[in-house]
Amino acid sequence: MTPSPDSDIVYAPLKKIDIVVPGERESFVRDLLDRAGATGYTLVRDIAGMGHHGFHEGRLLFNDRASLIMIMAVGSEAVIHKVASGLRPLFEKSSGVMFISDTHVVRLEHFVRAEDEV
Amino acid sequence: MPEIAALSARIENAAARLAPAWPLDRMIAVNPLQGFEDRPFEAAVAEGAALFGGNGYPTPDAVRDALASGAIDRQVLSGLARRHGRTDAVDGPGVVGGPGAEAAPADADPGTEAVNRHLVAWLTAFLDEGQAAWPMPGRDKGFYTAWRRLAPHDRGLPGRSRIAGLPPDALGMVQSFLDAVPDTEREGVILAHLAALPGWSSFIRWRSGARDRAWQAAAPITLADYLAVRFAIARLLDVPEPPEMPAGPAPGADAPIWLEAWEETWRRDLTHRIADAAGATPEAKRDSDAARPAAQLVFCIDVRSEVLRRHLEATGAYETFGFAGFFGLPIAFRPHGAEEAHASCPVLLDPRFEVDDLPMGDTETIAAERRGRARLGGLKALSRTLKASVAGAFAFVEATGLAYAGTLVARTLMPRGFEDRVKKLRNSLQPALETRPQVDMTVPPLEAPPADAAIVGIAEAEQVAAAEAALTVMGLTSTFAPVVVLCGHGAETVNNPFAAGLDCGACGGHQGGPNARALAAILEKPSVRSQLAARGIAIPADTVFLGAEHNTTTDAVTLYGTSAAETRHPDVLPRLRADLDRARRAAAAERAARLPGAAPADAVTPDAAEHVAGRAADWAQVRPEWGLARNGAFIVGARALTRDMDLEGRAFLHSYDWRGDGEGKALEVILTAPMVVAQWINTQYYFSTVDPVAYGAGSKVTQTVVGALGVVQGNGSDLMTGLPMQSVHAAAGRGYHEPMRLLTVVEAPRERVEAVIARNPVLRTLFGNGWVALLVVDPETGRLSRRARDGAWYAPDRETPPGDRSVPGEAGPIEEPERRAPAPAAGPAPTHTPEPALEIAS
Repeated sequence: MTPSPDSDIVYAPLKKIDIVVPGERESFVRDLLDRAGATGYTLVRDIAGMGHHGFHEGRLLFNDRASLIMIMAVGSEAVIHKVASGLRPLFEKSSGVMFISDTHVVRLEHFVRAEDEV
Repeated sequence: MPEIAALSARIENAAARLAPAWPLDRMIAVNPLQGFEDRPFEAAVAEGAALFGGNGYPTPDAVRDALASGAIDRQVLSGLARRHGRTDAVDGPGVVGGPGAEAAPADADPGTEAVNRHLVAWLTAFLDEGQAAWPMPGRDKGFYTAWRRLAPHDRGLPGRSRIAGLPPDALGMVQSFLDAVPDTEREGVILAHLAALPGWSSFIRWRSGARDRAWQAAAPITLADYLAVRFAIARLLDVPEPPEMPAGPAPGADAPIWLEAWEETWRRDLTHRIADAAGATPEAKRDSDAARPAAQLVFCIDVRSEVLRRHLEATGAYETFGFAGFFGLPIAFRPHGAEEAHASCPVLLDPRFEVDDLPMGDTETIAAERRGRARLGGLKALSRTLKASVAGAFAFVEATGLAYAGTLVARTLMPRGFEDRVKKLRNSLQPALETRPQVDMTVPPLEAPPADAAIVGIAEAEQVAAAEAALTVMGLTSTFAPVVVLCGHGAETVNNPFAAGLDCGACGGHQGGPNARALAAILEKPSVRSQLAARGIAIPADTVFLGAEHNTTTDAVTLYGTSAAETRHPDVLPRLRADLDRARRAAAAERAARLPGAAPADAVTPDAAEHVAGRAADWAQVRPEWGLARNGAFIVGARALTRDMDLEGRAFLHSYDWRGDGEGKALEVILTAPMVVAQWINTQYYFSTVDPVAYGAGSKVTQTVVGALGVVQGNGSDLMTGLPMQSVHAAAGRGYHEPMRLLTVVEAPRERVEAVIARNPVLRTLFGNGWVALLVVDPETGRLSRRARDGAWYAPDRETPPGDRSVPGEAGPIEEPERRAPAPAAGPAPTHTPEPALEIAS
């Protein structure tokens, strides 16, 4: 735990994973996060970007499945490791990327379950 | 555990090779080889043969018939055979037993059959969606858990005492079974087990992702559950090896050439007609279009709309458009009196709004309808209970048997009269009520119970955005007629488990009238119109938008909410009604001539209208209509391009005005959604035709509906997905649907089309792997271009089929096509001199 300059706030270190996948994989990733023990996630639909397969348009008006989505989740290293373990084989066959980084949260209890306290 | 997470990804990867299968109540066309669309068509077909035992090309018999009838032109075939270096192909399939002959399918090994038999029984019980009188207990815990609890009581299972020792959760069971399989081989093993029952696996793939499906909440299932039970049964029966399913028949090296010749024969004629239309002074056509028509009617892109549109246009000054039948509204629609809303948009979209149908009229009328509905509902529930009750069934039959026999005879001998009487009786019990879709947003009161707490309706900003998108994409942004009819569609059929398959695919297998009525209601709002005007779409104050529904079985069109139109345009509506009726009779006559069982007299107006109405009410009719059979093209452009053509109900027509779409955004919408749906439909009809058993649902005669979700053959089999044989064949061994891949025709500058393809992987895949062919009509030059799989463009040739020189085995770069002379023929010189490549300048 790192105290912030404002002594009332404590920064708790956790891991963050950003996942970019086609919309048709949304259901799998959400199930994976649930099973891994993530307490929540943020989902952004219709994102654009450049990758190995060229530029990908963000918003297809009538097709959610071919659009890209980004899911952000924060959790303990063990939880994020489980998520990454489930994504690595997925990306062998399907397009997508994941970024894992160190992050800090203030309200730790929102991001870890009681049995998974860091 | 990380291993379990990785295992779940292995299952996901393997399952991606299966196309999801929707239940009967929302039957959606889908390419059975969707999981292999990332590969060239020929490679995908080979994968399908190995994995599902499916045949992927027109059968030798079908090719012989097509050669005899001219559906495959010998000259076209000859050119293709030379180009592919297989001159023998020009003779067509050999005698029975020769290369490419049909082979009898082999049986699966007995061990796999035994596992399948047990598993199917459990799946049928667990997945039931309301058909079973006695549902399987404990379903809320999931399939594997429920099976593990009940299976010890199954005396047909050997070694039942070992079930208690199996891992308690599904993924644990799968992990345990695959423990000795190296990680790199697991996906293959999993896929083999999924493909042992591809129909059930495909349905589970769909249902496990259907989070809004009430049955999925009541009886949750995943593919891990399926695998866990399968592995457990295999272990009990001592059948540990991955199942080896019999491979499909080897198609022979010439099968792709015969298919291509069939396709190119039809496309050649279509290309000629489009070339003629494109070259016919487009500017002059536009000027004639500028006059204000009496009415404009927007139909779904469905191929069945083309027939009615053509006949309606012939009756008067009507302009018609084609647009996706959900009218750009991603809604869940709740019909009046229904407990739940259903998704009424393409399955490519998740519904974003709920729209409810609100009853109109005075309090007493609404109350009378509610009482009648409750009474009818009670009678139906009572009848169901008595029929299913062990104690009551016999007494019920004794008491009502004679009445049932009477209705059976009446229904069989006088189907239309019987249905009319039933409707009258229903109306007397439950008076018909006018309804209107509630498009404006309503927030439930705070004290509302949670079940009713959903926010219903669409925020006005979203209404404006949806209306603007719909009008822009369909190219209707100026010159509005006094009356604009938005026309959804649905079929009318009785005793037909595949009824939803005849409804609107763009509405998720539902009738499209509600979406049409909802958009009409939005466009009738003055506040929406003023915001649209600020965005450049000025709708005249006297223009009235109406919702409507086209009954594709009878070709009748029902107009909704006509009072405003009748007041404001008393001269237009009666004429429109009369012309719609004339068009109905003419369209019915055209269709009746193609329907099996129709006598020559049935194909003549007005008898044809009676004939098709009779089919709609006939409970023994296996072909109430032909649906989308014989579909072959998806044409994107102005109606001027196709208005003078009789496309015989074989083309999806999507309106598009290239002039108002500089960045190609509207074209991108059309190609990435409606065209994708059209390709799903096209491939479903294709594969159900070339292999009615592996890829289709088999014959209706021997089908059994199970669980109210699908059909099996006999008293139990794999779930039969795809279309029944009767939907694509006129009779046993006599095809009706012509199996050919979709040709997309786009009227737009070629650079714009190429740019849209370049930025959308789904289009690169479909065009690049030969699933869809592409013809572009440049509206400024009138020049036509075909796109090869590798992205090269070339001019279609009037006499020499363009073919596709990038199919496997045809290596080598494609030269710059526009400057390319017609390819010299290999072998003997053709006796016919080809005309020059087609180049038409405006």
